Amino acid sequence: MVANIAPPKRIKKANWGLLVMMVPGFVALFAFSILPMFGIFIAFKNIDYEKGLLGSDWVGLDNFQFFVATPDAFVITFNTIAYNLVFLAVGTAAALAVALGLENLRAKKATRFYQAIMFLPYFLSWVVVSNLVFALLSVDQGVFNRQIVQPLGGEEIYWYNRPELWPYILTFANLWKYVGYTSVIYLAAMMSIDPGYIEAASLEGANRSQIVRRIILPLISNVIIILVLLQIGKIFFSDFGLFYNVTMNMGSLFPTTQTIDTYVYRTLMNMGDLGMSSAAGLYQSVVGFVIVVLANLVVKKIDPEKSLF
Amino acid sequence: MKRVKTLLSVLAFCMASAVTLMAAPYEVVWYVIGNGTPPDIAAVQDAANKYLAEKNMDATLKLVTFDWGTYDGKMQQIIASQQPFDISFTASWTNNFRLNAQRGAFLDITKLSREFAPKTMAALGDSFVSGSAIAGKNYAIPANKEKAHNWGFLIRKDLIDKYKLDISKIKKFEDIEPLLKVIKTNEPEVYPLESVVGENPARLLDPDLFADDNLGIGLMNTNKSGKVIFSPATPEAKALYTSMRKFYSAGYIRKDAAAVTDYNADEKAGKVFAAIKSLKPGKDAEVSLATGYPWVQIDITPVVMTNRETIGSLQAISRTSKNPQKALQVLELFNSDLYFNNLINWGVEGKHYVKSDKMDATGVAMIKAGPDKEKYNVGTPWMFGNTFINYLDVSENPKKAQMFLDYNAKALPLKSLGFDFDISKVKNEVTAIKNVWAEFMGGLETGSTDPATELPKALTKFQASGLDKVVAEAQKQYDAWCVANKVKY
Repeated sequence: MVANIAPPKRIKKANWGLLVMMVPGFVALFAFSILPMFGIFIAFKNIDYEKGLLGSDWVGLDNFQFFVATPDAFVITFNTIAYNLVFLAVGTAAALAVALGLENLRAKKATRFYQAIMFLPYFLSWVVVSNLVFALLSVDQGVFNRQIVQPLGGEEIYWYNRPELWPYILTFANLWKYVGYTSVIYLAAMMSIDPGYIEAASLEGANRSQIVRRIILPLISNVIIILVLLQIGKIFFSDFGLFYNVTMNMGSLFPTTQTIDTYVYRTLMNMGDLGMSSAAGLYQSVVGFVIVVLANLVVKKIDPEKSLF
Repeated sequence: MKRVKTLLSVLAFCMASAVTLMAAPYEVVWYVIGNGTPPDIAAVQDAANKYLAEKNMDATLKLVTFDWGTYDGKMQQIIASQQPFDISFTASWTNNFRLNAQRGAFLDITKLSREFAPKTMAALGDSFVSGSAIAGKNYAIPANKEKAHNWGFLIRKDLIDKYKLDISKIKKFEDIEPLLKVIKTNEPEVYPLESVVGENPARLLDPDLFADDNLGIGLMNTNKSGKVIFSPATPEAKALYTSMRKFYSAGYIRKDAAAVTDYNADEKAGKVFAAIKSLKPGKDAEVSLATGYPWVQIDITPVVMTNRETIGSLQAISRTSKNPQKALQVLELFNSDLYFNNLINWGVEGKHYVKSDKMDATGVAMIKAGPDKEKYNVGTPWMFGNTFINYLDVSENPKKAQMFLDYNAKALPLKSLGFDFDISKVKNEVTAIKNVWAEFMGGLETGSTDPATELPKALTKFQASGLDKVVAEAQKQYDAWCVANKVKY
């Protein structure tokens, strides 16, 4: 591949600049992801502040037990994985569709405008979103019940008492927040395609759907696969803000909205136990790591050039 | 050479600043719960620091207030990340005192407190201090206030007068119904009955809890039996949830009750007619001052003295404190000094309060609201410490201190006083039960869900989480404690 060809000196110099640009990212990675790895041992200890972190007693795998002791263990795991798979499928499809639409727009100013509008929700915190959702769906004061259902003479919908509706609401909220962000990445990848390919295809009489299926998608499949693989690595992690804040931490919604992260957070808040929450974090990371490696292996089998590593 | 010089000058600068740092008074950081940070906190802190300097305490005070809903979470994070601070408010119901003490987050001050806060400890009395101990050790100083509690109604007096309602016939919870109906018809903007998660009429069950509120394990509060119960499984609980459901269906309770945890906003906005509260003499006057609306109180449950009081409101010294002696000295001054105590409780004289010419029973002038009262109106003397040296507002009973003593004397001391349940052996089950609690109890307690279908579901799930094992462990520990302390039923 490209790496095997020795680059001429001029490019090496250019690389030096790029390497400097990498430093802040690496420092952040080191500070927030590598340094904290020393804390893994906390998962195997019964933390007693009096004895200190290092001096606390070792308890083996005791801290991991609480996770399977709950009758909800299956539901929690299922929710986490199922939501992530749905988000992945729906999110990728929607982002691709948006990117293809924007790519096809002739007016560049309009493209930027639409991009900005769709990007905006990405900057809102889930706490803000949760209040927006509450303002819409609250039984007493919600816009939905007050302005739409009541004037039409219908019966109010108790959104926060109906767990079966929340998979749709949360999927929608997640889509609304992230679709702009992901579509920008896909759009950038599409922009880097040599316009010559598309022009040639048009001249040969290919229609839009043929161009998309035969030229654009295959050429950006690398980017799609990388993004999907990265997402799969987080399949055991749920977006805490979404599941905790947007549901207003409502007990009645637990059956369809409780995920590993919210369960762990509630446990830490209830029990104040560092060991138990570290254990859960470690478990999630290890499983996530294994899944990424497996997914990468599968990709490698199908097309070695497109694998992550 | 030049480099060495620069290095030396940097070193000298560092040492100089280290010396000034050492000479500066120690800053005592005190975390408290309340309605958020009062706008005039800086003025009160300045006055406090000036006074501390006058007293040669060599300390300054920094008060940090988190509001009712977030205090617990914030403190958990501060403690888990081992941030340095000196004093924090703790209780059985927030910033979990038992767990923090067992986990070593708070300092064992059994000896230190007697050395550096002797007046405070003497005023509390030995039995109360030992009642607040965990496994024989003191990890915090309880507030000196009433030593018992009961539950009952607080009802808005202005609305009672407006509709000429009769409150003399209210003896039990259900008796309030006709009043709620009047309010519902005539005051569409007012919620007739306050009921949100954590602050609702389910408090009337008042079990003698062994551990956290959201574990529900304890005894009935009658002293008749030493059999451990699980509160939501009792027939009393079922009856209460059923009444709540009836009131909810009739529209007496806000419909999104199960999604709301902050009760203060509604009370301060004048949107609550009746609420179930923990009562004590003069509670109505206290809440009237804090909310700005007039209230009257009606007792429902009998007066009992339980672990709820001994560990219901305390100040603990953090393990991360760099100077626990100083922190205790500041608390001692707070609990024994009239000026310092009232400065923190009421603010600056002439600004936040003014003295009236009316005297209380001990000959201290009673106070009235000052021009800037709203800028420093914390209204939580029971949280800070010694309430017996608080100035009284002119609207309060001048004999409040004596009323507290009478109230204590009237209380039934429960036999379990001083027992604490060590959950370490059933930690996994407790975790699971608390999770089920969060799933079901908010709905049942606020009346938002129907107990006919949801209560059996909840109980089945509590069982599946290992409830029987936890009850058996609690029973075992309590029986052993009864033998050791010669308690008989």
